Amino acid sequence: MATDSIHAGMTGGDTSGLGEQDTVDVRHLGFVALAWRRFRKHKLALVAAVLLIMLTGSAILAPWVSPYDPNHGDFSAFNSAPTSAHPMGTDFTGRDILSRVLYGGRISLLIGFSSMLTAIVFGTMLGAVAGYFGGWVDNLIMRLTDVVLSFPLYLLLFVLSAFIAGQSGGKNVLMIVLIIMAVSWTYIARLLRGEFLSLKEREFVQAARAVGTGSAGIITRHLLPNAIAPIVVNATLLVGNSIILESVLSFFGFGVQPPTSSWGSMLADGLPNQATAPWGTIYPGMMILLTVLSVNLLGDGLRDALDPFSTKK
Amino acid sequence: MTTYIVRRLLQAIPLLLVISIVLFGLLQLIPGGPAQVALSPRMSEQARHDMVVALGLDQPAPIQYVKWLWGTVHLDFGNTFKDGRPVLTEIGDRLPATVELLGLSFLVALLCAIPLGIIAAVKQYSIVDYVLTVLSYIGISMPVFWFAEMLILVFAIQHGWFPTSGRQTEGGPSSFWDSAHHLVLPVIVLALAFIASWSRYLRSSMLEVLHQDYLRTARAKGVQRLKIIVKHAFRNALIPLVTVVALDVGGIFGGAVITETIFAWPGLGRLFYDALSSRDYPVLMAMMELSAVTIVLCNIIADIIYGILDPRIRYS
Repeated sequence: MATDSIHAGMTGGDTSGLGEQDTVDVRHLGFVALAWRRFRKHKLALVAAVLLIMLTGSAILAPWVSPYDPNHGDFSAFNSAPTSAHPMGTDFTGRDILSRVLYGGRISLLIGFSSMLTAIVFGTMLGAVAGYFGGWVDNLIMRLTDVVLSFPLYLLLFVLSAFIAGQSGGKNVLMIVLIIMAVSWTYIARLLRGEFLSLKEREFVQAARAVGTGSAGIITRHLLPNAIAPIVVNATLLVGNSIILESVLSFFGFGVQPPTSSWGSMLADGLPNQATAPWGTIYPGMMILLTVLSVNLLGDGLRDALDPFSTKK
Repeated sequence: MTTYIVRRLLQAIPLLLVISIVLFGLLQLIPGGPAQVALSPRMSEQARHDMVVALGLDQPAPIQYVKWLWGTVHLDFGNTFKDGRPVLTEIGDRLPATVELLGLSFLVALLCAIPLGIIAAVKQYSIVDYVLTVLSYIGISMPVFWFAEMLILVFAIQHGWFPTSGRQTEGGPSSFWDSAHHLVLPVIVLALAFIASWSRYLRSSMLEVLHQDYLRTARAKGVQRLKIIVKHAFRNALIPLVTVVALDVGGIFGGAVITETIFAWPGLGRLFYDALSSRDYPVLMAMMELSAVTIVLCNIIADIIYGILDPRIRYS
């Protein structure tokens, strides 16, 4: 067994996992394969990943798997308790909650993933530029993050969205994504700046510069790939955060507008009838909790798996 | 140290100025700006004009801003659109309720998070640690308002143990027990997220400290286990926690808006929500600027406490 090249991640604490598969010479494994070997030791994160795939899959497949039209009210069953016909009950206009939860997941997850993507792209760009070029550019960008970080973000979020409430459809969803992005890019920007500050002094970067690689080439080919781990971990956590933010906004009526519905707006719909029809608020909330929980656990697993010096079991 | 504090406070001034300009600009840019809001569509042309002039909304935005700023540095935030009372009086009226709720929540959160974090770290990989880890993940992942709804559903609606909303029973005599009764659910809601994240922080910083050489030395020379944990380890593990707590205190207004709105708690969060619904610009501006001041001050306080707890840090 090639113990000399086995990473610290495999020697730390738990050795029970060292089965026959682990006798492979890890020197020949790539970054992804190594990360996967560490990741699968993290049982909770593995479960979370499977759960997240199922949740996303059911949202994508909603038009095919949901039993009813999510916006069609069954007038013979208002606020009906869960039955075999309506496994999660119906809401105050007789709409099937299971179907609505499946369709609502499309919007919640869409907003969660798109906010994450835009925030990561924007934050990465600013962080990379600040860390790589330094000087006044760095100063300017960091002062900007200081300002955004000193904003009362929740209040700002509420104020911004209060004014877009009333717009409908895709435009509204896009605005929510942009608003969530505007308040969440700072963390990744700071993180990436820090990474770049230390990476750009390394020998391999100097070597690249010596052979005439331009700034853009150094950033995209040499620096970014080395900073991928913190980006991925933060991307995961941002998805959960964005889903929560969206649900808060929709809950207070500043988020997605009817007839579009997300898990957050379903919670708002269910609230007035909570005493007689608690299933209207229980199930959408459970979906948010499960999604964010699995995203957070996944992020934690990835943090350990992507860190070559991880000593966690 | 004094020089450091003064320098930090001076640095905060331009930051707060920039923030106030951005906030003011945002409120101006947003469609349906202040000019349209305070006016009723049924007003006559003359009444409308008089009102615009009275509120100073006919002047260009930069002049409005300078006037606002001039008032603000004299602690005059203008009058509310709603009933024309001074914004500062309105905020002063609501402040005690918010301080009561938030203060108690922070106290409860600290009292729970510290022992939980220490136990989880000392008993690492035990069943207790595992259960606490899972619970804190759930606490962090749960939408606050949903948790509030569920608490209201179970403990207020179904069992009737606690009131669903308000600060005291309507019309009844105000007593300590009545107030305490109303506080239970909102405090649990606000404290839970903090307990979950703070105990995680404390656990990981405790673990880091517990593996240090000086703790092994202390153990080797026979210092009692409890004394090692409390005096040697906890004191050092506290340092990162202080920063997190101070930052959370700074950003607390957001959580207050959610919790106070759900529990109809007559505090600042509720005031903000109502001002938002009725587009009461002077109130919104004052609340946001005050929150920004709180955040910036808490950041400075965090750095100062950091220096006190960790003598290795020198501020020059």
